[in-house]
Amino acid sequence: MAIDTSAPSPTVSPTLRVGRRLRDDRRYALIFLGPSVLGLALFTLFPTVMALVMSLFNWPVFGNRTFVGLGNYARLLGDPIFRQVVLNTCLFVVLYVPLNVVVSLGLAAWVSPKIKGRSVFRILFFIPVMAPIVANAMVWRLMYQPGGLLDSVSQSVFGVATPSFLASSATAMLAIVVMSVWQGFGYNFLVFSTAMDQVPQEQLEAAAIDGANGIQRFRYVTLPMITPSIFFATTLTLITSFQVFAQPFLLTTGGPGNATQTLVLFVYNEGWRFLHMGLAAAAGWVLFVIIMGITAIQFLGQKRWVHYD
Amino acid sequence: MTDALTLARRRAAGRRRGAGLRSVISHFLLVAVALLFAAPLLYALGTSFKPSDEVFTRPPTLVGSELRFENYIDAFRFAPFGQYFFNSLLVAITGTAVVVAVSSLSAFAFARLRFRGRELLFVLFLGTLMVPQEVLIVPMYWLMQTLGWVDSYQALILPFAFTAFGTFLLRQFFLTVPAELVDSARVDGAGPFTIFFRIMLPLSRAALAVLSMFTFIAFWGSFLWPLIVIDTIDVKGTVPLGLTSFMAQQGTEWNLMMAASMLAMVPSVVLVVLLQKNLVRGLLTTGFGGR
Amino acid sequence: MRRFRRSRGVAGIVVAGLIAIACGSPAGTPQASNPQASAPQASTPQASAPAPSEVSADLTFQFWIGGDADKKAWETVTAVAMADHPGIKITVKGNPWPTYWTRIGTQLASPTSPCIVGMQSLRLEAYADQLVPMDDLMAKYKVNPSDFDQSILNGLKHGGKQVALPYDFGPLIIFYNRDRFKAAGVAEPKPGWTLDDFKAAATALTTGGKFGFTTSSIDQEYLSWVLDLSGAEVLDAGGKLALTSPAFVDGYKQYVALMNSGITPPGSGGAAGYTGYLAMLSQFQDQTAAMYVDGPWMAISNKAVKFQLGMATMPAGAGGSKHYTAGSGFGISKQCATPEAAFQAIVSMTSDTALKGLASVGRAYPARPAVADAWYTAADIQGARETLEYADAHSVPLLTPPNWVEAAGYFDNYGFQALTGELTPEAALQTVQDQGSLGN
Repeated sequence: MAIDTSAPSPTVSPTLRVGRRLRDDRRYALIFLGPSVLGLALFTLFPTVMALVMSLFNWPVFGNRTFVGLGNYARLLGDPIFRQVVLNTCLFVVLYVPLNVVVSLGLAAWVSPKIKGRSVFRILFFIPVMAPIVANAMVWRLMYQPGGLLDSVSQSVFGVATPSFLASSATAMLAIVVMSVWQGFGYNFLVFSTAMDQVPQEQLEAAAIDGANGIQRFRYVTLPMITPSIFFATTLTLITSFQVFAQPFLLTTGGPGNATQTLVLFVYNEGWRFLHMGLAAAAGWVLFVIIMGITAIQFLGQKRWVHYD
Repeated sequence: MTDALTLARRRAAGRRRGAGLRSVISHFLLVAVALLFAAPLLYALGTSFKPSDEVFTRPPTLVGSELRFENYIDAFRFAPFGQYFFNSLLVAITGTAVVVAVSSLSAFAFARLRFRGRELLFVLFLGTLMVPQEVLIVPMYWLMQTLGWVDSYQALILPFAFTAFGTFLLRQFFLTVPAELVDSARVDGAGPFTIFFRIMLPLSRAALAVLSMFTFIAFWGSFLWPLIVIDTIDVKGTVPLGLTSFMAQQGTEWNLMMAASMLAMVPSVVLVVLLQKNLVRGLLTTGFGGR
Repeated sequence: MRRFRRSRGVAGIVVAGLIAIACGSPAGTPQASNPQASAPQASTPQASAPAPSEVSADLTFQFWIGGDADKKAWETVTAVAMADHPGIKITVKGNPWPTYWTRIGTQLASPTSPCIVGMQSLRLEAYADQLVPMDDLMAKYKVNPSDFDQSILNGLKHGGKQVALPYDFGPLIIFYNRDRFKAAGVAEPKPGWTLDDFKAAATALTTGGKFGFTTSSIDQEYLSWVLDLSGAEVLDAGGKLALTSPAFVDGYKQYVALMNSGITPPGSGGAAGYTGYLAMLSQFQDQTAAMYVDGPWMAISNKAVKFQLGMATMPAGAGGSKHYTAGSGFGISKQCATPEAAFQAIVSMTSDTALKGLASVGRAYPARPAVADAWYTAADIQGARETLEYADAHSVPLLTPPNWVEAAGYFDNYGFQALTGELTPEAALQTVQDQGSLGN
């Protein structure tokens, strides 16, 4: 390994020594950072710019490309289907994120360290998170299918057939949200229960002695202390929920009609089913701007409610 | 004062008596919740062993009249699951190796090397995290076409192996390694490489494990990108792609579909059971699960 | 200051370079270095065509293949080509049906495109520009157009040029369950039976939890019915999408009304698109429904059922009995470095021998009328010949606009809503028409 033979003897002035270390570090920095920077440049920066460039063109997968300036964006903004798609995506986010956070927070509080077999719950809830989304989607298609678990339970117990959840515009999005929560909350459950473990026992006991019951202890002691985790989990869930693709793709192909078509599904359809790459790139940028905006709002708002100590 | 303490103790004792019953009910409800949660998986498992005409029965049954293990063999006959698993493993393992190597190197640079523009560069790194995969897929596909990488393993591994997430995660951790360790090593004449390989990495096993796990999960479950970039599913397809291909052909054979889905879930279940403790520990050390 | 100006210059160069890349040659131009070619072409325009055994090439054949058995069937077809031309090697690659069409567009655009691709007449327009016109090759290798059924041969033309050679075709007809007809005491349909006959039969067969008919929202289903009920086609005289023409709207409304008159299982098909097709198929095969619309290419899959299979013509409305004919063939990608070798392979793959082989396993109703007998013998469906010949005589080729893949995709979802009653038929058609006309 590289022995620093250039290390000056202690009689050399300190500034010179610092200067040489700085210079050496820069060479090393190039080597250490090289792969990462190259990779990011090639696979993130370059494509990001190319996405912008492509979005300014009429760019079919094969054939001639023509420059259309902001034509793709204009078309998107004027397209009722795209507006519906943005609304669908927002609807999914608004339904999914709170439900996910509330369920995982609530369960994390319930499955406290005193519960035996706690790790069983952690494992159980985390399995769908780790499993390929396609497998989860197949399982839930079977559940939602007329004649499937939900329908046959309803018919045996209540004598009433359930509607075909995935075939009806009214229920399709909700069905997708429920499946997504089932699949995804295990991750936040883990984050929250780990965070809750960090709350000092003394504070909880002190609150108990002061007469606080379980719910009050949670609300006034635990909750404020885990706000950084809540912030982290909510932001992450928010960002990823805007990118929902596999569930509508596999469960409903965006249907019925357009009821469950989300932004990424729109990008996929435009780019690879209908081969309009320029339009797809433009739609991708719109998604990017939306996500950036929401995340900025989250970060700005965190000062209000997140307590770091 | 004594009275207040006695009062509190009596209250606590009372609460404990009530708490005994409450805890039993709570336990019971929890088990019910767990069963409810597991119901879809159990139902799918049961269906995977049923003969095809017993899939939709009223009332619903967990097991059919017989346990058809042949369903799993049939699933293999209709689709090359062995190939799918091999591809997924190859991509996930290689991808994870690349991510860990590249991220640890750059995280070390940000954490322990001193150079001008370090903070600015790190902010830029973080900025790239803002760009969602979905913006990138369109130009990335064009890039694959240009490089001739469409329908190849490198297309599955490389394009998303250079995100700054790993750098961020590991830098967090490297910063917690005591500076004295590094400084004394430097005084002893160790160069950055020595420090990196002999000090930083061995101390960071937990963080590396967490990063590896998250990365492996991401590669293993990746669906949209392989869907776009792989043309010959039966040759280069990963498990999620293979499942959709299977669905396209056997979409109405629910028992086979469930068998295939269960097969796809096995590695996930195994990994979760094995690594669950590490996950928790990792979340703690990287500070994401903490306060 | 200096650094700032320099970085601005660099940025400018980079942007200019990116725009240059974007405006550069379109992805569709053929490349000289196709990794699949192993030997240079053996012929030039001046030299005479080489004897069949001299040409040599390494070709990939991409097709819609569902499973191992299917692949083996196609390998026997390519084996005919390899036997005719020992220097040619053909590798068979496949994707399942729905995946095939989402991939073939980008595959044809890539420099590593397969040389020989499967092409369906009703999806031809979207990809025709990427296929090599074959008329000169046909003349050179003495392929006689009149050996093929003319309707499918014309169906695989684009701009008057032949871009694929057909291997199968067939009118879309009605498969029915003979056992259920007998059990219900309903007379089996004869070619030319009327719409009233059909309604009576379907109603009589809808009893005891079972149904007379089933449908799904994929194109071959509703297009066949619209044509039959009102004579309206997808395209107008100018070749543009015309889903909102009065005749089409009328026909589609009649179709939706017919399907919702109680003769089909509720929520027919159960899902949109290809999954709906599979569900419709399984409803027929497990005897839930007694009839459905499909093409003769499905005869062998349907033969595996536990009941006797019958084939009937589309019921005659006021304008008579009308059918769409569709079919498939093989085309050559413009990216192929050895188009002549590929063409010779295709000639063998559509020869009497190959088609007889396919017909005798009932896989393809052959595009060469001379070989049709082999199919009838193999299919062994009573009344098939009469039905198919009648249907053929009362058919038009199914022609679609260039963006049909897109429009049909919309139709999958919106047509499904029309069937479930969430959308009126007119609204569904208007939406698909609006979206489908936005193509760029």
